[in-house]
Amino acid sequence: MVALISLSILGVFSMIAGLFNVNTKAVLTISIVTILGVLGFTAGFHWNNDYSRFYDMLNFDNYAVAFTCAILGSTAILLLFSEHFFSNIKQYITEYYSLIIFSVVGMIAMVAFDNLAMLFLGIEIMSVPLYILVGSQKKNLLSNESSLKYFLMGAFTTGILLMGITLIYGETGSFDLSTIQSYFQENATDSSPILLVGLFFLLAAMAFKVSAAPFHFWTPDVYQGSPTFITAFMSTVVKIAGFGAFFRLFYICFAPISEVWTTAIWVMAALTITIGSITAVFQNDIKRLLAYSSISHAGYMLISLLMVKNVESEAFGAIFYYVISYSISSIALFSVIMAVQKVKDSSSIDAFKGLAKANPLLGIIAAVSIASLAGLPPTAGFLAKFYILKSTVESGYVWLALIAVTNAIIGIFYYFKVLIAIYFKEAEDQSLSLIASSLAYKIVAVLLVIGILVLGIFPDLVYSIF
Amino acid sequence: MADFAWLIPLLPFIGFLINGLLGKSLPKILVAVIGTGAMVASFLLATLIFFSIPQGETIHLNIHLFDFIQAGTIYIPFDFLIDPLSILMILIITGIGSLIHLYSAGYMKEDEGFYKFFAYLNLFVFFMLLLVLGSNYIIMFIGWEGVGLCSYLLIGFWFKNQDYNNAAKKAFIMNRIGDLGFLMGVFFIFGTFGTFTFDEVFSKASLVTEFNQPIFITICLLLFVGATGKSAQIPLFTWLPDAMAGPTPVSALIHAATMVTAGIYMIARSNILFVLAPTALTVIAIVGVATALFAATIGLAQNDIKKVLAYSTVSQLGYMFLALGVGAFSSALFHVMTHAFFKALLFLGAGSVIHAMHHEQDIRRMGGLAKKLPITHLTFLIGTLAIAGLPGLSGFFSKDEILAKAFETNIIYWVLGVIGAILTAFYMFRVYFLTFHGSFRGTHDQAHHLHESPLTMTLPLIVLAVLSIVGGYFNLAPIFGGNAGLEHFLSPVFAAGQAKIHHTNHLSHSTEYLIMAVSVVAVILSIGLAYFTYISKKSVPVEDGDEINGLHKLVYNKYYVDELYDKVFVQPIMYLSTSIYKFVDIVVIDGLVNSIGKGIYALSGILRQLQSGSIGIYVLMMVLGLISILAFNLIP
Repeated sequence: MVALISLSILGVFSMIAGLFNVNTKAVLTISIVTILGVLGFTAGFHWNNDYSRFYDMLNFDNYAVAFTCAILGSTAILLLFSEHFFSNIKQYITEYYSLIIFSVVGMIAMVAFDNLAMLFLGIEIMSVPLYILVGSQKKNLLSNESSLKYFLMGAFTTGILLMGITLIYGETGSFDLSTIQSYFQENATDSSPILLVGLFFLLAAMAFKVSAAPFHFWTPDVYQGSPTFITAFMSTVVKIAGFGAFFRLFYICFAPISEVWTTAIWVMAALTITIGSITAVFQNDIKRLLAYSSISHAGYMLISLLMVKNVESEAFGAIFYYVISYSISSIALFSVIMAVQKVKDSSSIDAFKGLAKANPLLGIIAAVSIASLAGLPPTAGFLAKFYILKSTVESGYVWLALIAVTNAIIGIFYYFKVLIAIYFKEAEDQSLSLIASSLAYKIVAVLLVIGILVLGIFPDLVYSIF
Repeated sequence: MADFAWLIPLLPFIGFLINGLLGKSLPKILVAVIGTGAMVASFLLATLIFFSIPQGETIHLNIHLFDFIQAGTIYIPFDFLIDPLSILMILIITGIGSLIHLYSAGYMKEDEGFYKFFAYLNLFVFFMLLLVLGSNYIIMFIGWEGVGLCSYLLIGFWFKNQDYNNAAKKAFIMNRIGDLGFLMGVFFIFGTFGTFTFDEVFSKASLVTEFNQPIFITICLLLFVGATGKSAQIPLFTWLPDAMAGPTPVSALIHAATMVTAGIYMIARSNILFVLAPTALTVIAIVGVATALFAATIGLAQNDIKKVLAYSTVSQLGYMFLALGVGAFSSALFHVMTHAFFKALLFLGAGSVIHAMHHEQDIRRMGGLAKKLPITHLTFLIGTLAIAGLPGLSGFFSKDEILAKAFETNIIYWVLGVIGAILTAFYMFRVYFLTFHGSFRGTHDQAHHLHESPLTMTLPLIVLAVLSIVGGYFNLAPIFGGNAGLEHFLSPVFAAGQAKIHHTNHLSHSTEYLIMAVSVVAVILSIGLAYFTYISKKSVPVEDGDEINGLHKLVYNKYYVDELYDKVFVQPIMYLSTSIYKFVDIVVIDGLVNSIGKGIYALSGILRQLQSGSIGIYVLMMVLGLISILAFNLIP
């Protein structure tokens, strides 16, 4: 509650600050401090202390708290890393902050909802600022194009989502998750077709938000066209929120009739992983490559929905660990991309040639984060995949595990394409040595790298919190 | 006092870290002080521990450092075992090690890799101490592998010379063959006793009453394979002469005094197992005496001063294995000790000569150096007399003890051993006469620059010369009026094993005097023959190009063992390896991997087409996806 209110105030504040030309550095500092403060408050006050509000429409249980903290933490780190990106932009900087913060407010509602109406509200509050942010480079055709694409398809999905909610309401007579859940428990064996159609509509809408196949087509186009900072935001923070909501809705609410939807998830997960990693092989633009990689990672996270039969804390731990390791690795890698883009104005893999020689620190950050994304030990990404695959096999989905492992191997190929460019190719010009990073960036980046390695060695720090 | 034993290996390790990490920027004098200082401190600690043992008592102390491996039923602590055997070994290692470190400070002075040399040397001593201090076979194995690594690094120290690199690789690979045997032996030990710890293995083994069980013969022969690798016995001896490519202090420390005796230490440590397998002991004795004789004959015809000493080392190690084979474990260690003294002395003396001759190692180019290098000459002479076994010097006592024990077991061992001793005396005096007497045969330039070595080099020579003289009195046998001090000191280690050996025929004193007299006379005659050949007749070995024939050619070419190994093992393996590489690697594996890669790439190209950029198609795909989900789940 405090989180929602204080962040909303922060959003309004930074929007007004833009009007009065307040120093952007100051606004940024205030934003980061507020976000971290809210994070600390949420973690300290709400952990192990369930807290319902708005007639039980929002419930801050441990699950919601963990995801809220992940969202806030990732946002704070991303904002810290924004220097390279914003140094090229002259106007409307505080408006960016404000839109991002509003979007985060929506995300918190998405991971803490206990009512389908709240889920819908959260998704919309998150999405509308994103449509604007994607198109924020007004003079850039690609940016406009992706904004329009994202908006059109998002609007289409909103329709599906609302239709699903309506159908479920029509059958169960409630938006409330616990009421719906008990309805499922009573009618577990013979669910009416209307209810099932509603459920699958919700599945499709959520799949769109997390870019799972075959609802993923917007992802590469939008990721490539967006400003890089927004791409980083979408592929990390937005993804955490999307999965937070997806998992909360299906794992908790729809668990009683899991037999109905697990096959669909199975096929979608296999399809998502495969399409993501195989298509990535062909890409030469790093943003597009990471878009496909994020699709592939979404497939792994989808697998965690299949763990309904497992112990709850294990399933929570596995998905949360995956989300955390994926987002810190991605953020670290995106910070390198933003730094390179500042001097190169290109996001093709060729732009990264010789980076390790020109700037060893960025080289190491890229190497560790790529290793983690590819799932190599001793990084967090390795254990994240391991936990997911372990429970997949334990739940009896051996074939799915095999498909996932095969794709992980293919993944190594395209991730290493980037790594090879960074470490083993000669730079074409001297521009890479012009990258100058602030001390704050260096410290946070090194901490991230250490975090990736520490999580890979002591996974229980995150895995066992539930 | 013994509780501080963990410091003994730690100090050289710290020396290694300092010199290895920072040595490049430190002045040479500091590098030498750190490297040598760490050794001397270790030696002082070892001496303190030795003297802290109360008179008439023994010591058996297990020092627990930390738990190394704990998995299921396997528990391997990182423990040190302090007992008479390990104390003797650490005294030898740190004592000789200190002297050789000091010597290196002078010998390697001009070398640009000075700090690296000291770092490697310290690291070697660390691993060697681990090897002898470990209280189970795993720690021993860590040390065993570590010394192999350091030996490799130091043989190839001058890595710009490809021959030296090859020598280093040869040493490493032949050691690995032995290591495999050792490792398998250790696995069998674990399979039989369920533990790696010495105390537990040996106490369980001492309860066994039946001799020559197949499992014990297997274990012992496998361990012995390990020992033949590390201690250069037939058939794995050919690496040691090539290892002379390393700097001379390395040859003295690693390839004469310490590392090559690791095999003897290991067998002496496991004596109880070997006692239970008399057949294995017989094999060891035969291999030992054969090596002693075989290497001695090769030593007769070599012209490189270090090569002669190398073959001499192989030969002396053979004597030690002979002693082990006849169950005289403490005699073997006695010879380890005296050999460490005089062989280190001989190598360092040779180093001093090589230093004076500007890296000339061929004895045909030397001669008459006695006047120019007086200290080197005198100490080298003492070493030569000691190894030849002249009465009163250390080599006499230890070698004689081995020969007497061999006589007790089988007279053939004794005969062969005496022949070996005669050959030893001859080839050693051949080197001595050709190097230090006669006229100088080197270039004019070399003659001009001949000089005695600095004090850092001559001091170790003098100390070792004194030890080579008095070393024998540490274990003076009762027939000379001594009390066999070393044997008593070590007896607790061998007690359980000796209890199982049935000594049938003890030699009477008169027999002992007689066999002693025979070998002394034979040796003196042999020295006389060498004097006659190289001083009176002034003969010098023929040049490389000249025609030699028959036996001489065979011996000169080391019985063509290297060529034989090359034809029988190396070339077939290389051939097999190349063919497998060409077919399995290139055709099968590469082909498979590449075609999978190409397939995925092609698939990627096709899948990419779906991403057309048109929203209409995207939405269509979404709708199709939704419809198929619904159709699949709702249509019964």
